[in-house]
Amino acid sequence: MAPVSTPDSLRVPSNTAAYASKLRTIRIWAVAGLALFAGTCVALAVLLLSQAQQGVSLPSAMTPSFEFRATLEKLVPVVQNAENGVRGVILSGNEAAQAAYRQQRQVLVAQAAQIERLFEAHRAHRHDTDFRALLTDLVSQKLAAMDRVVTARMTVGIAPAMALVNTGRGFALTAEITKAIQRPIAEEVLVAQSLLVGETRNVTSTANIGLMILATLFLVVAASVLMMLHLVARNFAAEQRARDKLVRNQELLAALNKAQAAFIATCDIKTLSETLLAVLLQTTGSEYGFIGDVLLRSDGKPYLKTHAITNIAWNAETRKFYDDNAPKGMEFGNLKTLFGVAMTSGEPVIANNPANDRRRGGLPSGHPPLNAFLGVPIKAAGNVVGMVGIANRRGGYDSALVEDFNSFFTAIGSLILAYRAEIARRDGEAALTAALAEAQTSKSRLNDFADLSNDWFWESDLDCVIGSVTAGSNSPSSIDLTQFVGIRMGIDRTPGITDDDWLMVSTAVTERKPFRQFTFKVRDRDGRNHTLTSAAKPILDAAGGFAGYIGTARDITFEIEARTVLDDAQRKLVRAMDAAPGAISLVAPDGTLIGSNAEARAARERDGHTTMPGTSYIAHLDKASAKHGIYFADGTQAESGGAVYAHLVQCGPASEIQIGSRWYLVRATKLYDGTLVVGSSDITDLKLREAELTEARFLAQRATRQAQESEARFREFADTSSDWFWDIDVDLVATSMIAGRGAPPTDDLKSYIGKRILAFQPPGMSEADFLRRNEALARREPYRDIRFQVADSEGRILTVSSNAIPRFGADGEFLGYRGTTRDITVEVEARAAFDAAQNRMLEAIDATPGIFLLIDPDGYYVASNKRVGMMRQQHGLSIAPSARYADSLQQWIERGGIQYNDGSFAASGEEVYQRLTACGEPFEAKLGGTWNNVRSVKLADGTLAVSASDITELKARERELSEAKETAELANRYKTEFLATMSHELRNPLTSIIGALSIVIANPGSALPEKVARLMNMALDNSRRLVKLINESLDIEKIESGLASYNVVPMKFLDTVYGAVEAMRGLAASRGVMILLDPDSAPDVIRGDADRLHQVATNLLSNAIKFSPPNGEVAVSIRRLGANLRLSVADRGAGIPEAFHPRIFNRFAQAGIDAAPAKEGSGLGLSIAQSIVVQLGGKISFETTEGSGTTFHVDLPLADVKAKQDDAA
Amino acid sequence: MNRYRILCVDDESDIREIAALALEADPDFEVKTCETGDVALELASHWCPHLILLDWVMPGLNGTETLKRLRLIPDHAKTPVVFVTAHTTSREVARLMSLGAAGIVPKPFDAAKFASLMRNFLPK
Repeated sequence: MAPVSTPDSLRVPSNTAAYASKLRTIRIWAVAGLALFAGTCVALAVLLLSQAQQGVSLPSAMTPSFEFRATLEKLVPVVQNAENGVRGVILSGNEAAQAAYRQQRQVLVAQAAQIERLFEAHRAHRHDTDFRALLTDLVSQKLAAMDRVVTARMTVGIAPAMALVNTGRGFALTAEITKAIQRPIAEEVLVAQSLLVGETRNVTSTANIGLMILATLFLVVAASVLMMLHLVARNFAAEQRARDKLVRNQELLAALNKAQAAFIATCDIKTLSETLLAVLLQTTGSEYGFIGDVLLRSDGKPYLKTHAITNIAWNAETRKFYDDNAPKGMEFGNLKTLFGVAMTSGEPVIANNPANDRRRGGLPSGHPPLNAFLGVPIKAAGNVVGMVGIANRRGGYDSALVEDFNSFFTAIGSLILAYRAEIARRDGEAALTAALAEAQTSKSRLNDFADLSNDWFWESDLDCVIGSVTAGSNSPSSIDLTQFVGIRMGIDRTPGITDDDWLMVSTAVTERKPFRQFTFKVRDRDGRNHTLTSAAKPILDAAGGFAGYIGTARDITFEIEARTVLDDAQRKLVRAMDAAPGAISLVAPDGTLIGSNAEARAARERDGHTTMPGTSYIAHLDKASAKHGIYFADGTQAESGGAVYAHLVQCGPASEIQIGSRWYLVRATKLYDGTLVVGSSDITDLKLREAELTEARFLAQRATRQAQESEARFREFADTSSDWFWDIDVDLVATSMIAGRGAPPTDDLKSYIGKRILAFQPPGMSEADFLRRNEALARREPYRDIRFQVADSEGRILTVSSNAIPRFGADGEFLGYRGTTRDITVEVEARAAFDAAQNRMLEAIDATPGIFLLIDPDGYYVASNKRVGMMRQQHGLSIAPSARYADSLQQWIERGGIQYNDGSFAASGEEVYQRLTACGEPFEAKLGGTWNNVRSVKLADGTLAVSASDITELKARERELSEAKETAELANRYKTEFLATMSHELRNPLTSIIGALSIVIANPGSALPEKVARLMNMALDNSRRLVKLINESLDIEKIESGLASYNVVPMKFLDTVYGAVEAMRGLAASRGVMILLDPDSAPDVIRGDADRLHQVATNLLSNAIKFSPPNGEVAVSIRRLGANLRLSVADRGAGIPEAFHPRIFNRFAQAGIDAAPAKEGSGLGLSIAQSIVVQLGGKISFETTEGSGTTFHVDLPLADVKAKQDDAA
Repeated sequence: MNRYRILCVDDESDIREIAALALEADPDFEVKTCETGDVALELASHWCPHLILLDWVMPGLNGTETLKRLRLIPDHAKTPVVFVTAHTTSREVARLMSLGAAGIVPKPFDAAKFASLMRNFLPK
């Protein structure tokens, strides 16, 4: 392409070096020429002016571009047609692309329609909605895939636009343009190209702003070029700068153009980017740089992916990294870098002192030095889509440079978008391919179906005008349905359509709804009428708008005819069946009822079932089974109608089936077409007769068996029984009398044979029994326990009891009686004895003075003795207690109450009754003014026996006794107090008396006359006796009143006794009595009160001394005797008269008190001694022989033994 | 010369007289008697007996009361006091001893041995 009228300088230089030398030449020319042209300044100025004036009306080189534009206008309709094309999507692709899309779309729509037809055809036969869903889904998937692909293609924008220019048709277009322009110069191509691109963008897609800008820039550049020409002409320096820029632009554009061409051919963005990067580095004099995509991470942060990057590897590691990653693109995500700032800010970053730039994140060690950096974010539609970075330009970067390279950068943005679009397109294409493959599969399947179909398929447009009708491969060829093409559905009514169908279809069409079973008639080529039925459904476009109907049609003429024939045949059959005996049902192979005869219908109607043909026969059977129960001949019940049906379809031999109470003989036969003929006849009556016969036979057998068994049993009974067995014949004459083996022998009964029983009253039969028996006999009824008497063989009178039952023959005729008679003498006697005993008991109870009641377990009165009635009568109550005993008790409570021993009153009759039923301890209760000791006992049968004895007297005596006791105790207390007081009071005068007498007697100065002295001594002795008496009285009083206290300690009894002996020596000596203490006396320890035991010992010694004869001896000893220590005091006195033995320890008891003159002493000593010994756990006893003396023993437990006893206690 | 002064207190004059006679059988004893506890206290203060015999049951101050008051007289804080009483149950004896009695002589006492018995209670 040689330049024609454009200066050489405008041509794209072959390389930068050449361009630089050229530029240098221009500069030299400019400097030198400035002087050379100075002289010719005016002429040159005029020339320049004239050129400038021409330049205003655009240079001649640009004129053809208008013709080019006009040529472009011719292309517009294509594009505009595309805009009006399928689905209203703006197509920026070329016609081929549009055509391809339309073609694909059509294929798919057709496919969908076919699938729909297939579905309709299928549904007409199968009602299989799953299949429909499957197909519908498949179709919608295909359409969506198609749309995706086409949309991707159409919105790519740049690729079809480029195709327009560069691909086959595009070249053709270029050729056209070239032809039209007829000036195929490089500049014009360039301009045309840019214009074309810009124009194409203008009319095709407003979305791809990048290209618009690019185009605009190209125009601007073009304008600039022209302007530059003028400026160069006008001002060399300016021209040189402009030329500089222009050249650079031209270089860039050339590089871009080349790169675009390469990209379009190969879609190799890497090579393209590398080329562009090389140009950029060279053009700007930069050392290294990169071009890359800016993509977004999932977190929304941008990162750089290089398409081209200069190798800045500085060591093996980085070199390997570069070699490994550069080909597939390196990724940089560090935003704290200069390029990162450019990416995030969207603004170019110029850093001419990167080392000190705070935006910079630092360089890895070994990284080549960075002297200057320019990062330019590439924007498209306001987003950063790419990034260009260059570095280390000598002299750094400035914004002017950025501006100069703006178009370049924009072009790169377009390339990136184009690349991305291409990637999307490739994806889309792959999806399309897959979809097409699937569609192909579906289509082939559809074809298979369609091949088998005898349906017609038709479709209408959105005005419901039938557009096409396709016959299935098996559709009757004689019928031509294309005659319906052009018919307006729901408007153009063809003949043979019923009003109902017409209304149905016109309504459906109006509402754009599907319809089915629209029946119409059509005449075939032979003039025969055919009936067809059609179904249709609306189809919707992708936007959901109504797009027409698709439908199927089917010839049902034969079906109708066949049905008519069949119906007729069936009617005939049914008539025949109706005439047949029994019920007949015809059942289709699918179990639906085809028909049944009158009897079968009647049977079902009786059960309230429908007889409509077409209903499920199994359902009928189910209902019958549920309502009546269906049983097979073997007695098993059918679980369901299905079980019965299963039995029937086996078509076995006739079987008996019971439905409810009726029996049927059922036979099922299968016809050639699978129809099941079920015939049944009611054999209920037959079965009943059969059953009766069986039953009768059975009964007869049983009767025979029973008779045999009865006889045997009877014999056994008779053998073991003690009864008589007898028969009376129809005339009531006794005919037989058999005595059981155990029956007492009697001739009396035998003598009844031959007697007419009715008039016969055996001895001992009461009048009542006689009447009862005769009445029963007259009525031919059984009778029981008719008693009379017979004499046994020994003449004893037996009481017997007869039972009898009438006998009847098979026809109910009376045959006589059969009976038994039993000896009940023992029973009767026992009963009599029992009754007598009971009567006696009742009499006895009546005779008891107390109350006696029997209450049943439910609390109701059973019986009572007379006393109860009497008491109630006395208190104005009804004589018999009320039925419920608690109520009866309640009457008593209301009539003065029932009082317990503690003085409290019963709250209610129920309370008292409960207390009685508890059967606890007897208690005392007062009712009706009498006190009763009440006891209750529960008898074996739960009867409560209540008895109460009147203890009113006893209570009164008890009270008196209690009062008397209280009085006595009081008196005793008074007595004790009196005695104590008196004793004390007596002492004072006695003190004076004894004192006075003692002094007088002992007065050594005055010898008393002997008689006086004797009397004085008598007075003194008696005074002392009196004191002793008083002391002992007090002692015994204290001991007996429990006031005496004991100081019980372990003690050696011998010491105490020894002390007592010593104390008594004076007395003994005065009587001339010797006290002999056994030197071998045991020194054992007892637990006792030394003072008290001293008292005991002195009392015994004193007695022994007193009752010893003069010069007598008193022997004292202490010995161990078992666990005791025994003190024995023996005298040789007169002994104790036996009569006195029982009273010896009584108070004031002295032997010989009547006979002999009283010995001195109170008579309280032994009593006191006994009290003390007993208190200390011992005992006192004596041995005496009249005339030879008395020995008193005091036995006291040894200390260790006593301790053990105490412990044990 | 009598060495011991013995005061005998009893509301009954016969017993006072008997007691005095019995005690005076001992030539070493000088005996004074009085009827009531009040007089006894008065006498005790002035006469300073070596031994005091007290009846328990007396009108006015009884024996035990008299003893308690006697002990309040500094000279008689430790003068032996013997109760001559008819109340000689062990409980009564214990009570009197606990009040500080030197001894108890039950009524009726042996007049012949009375003086010699009392010697036992006198300080040696």
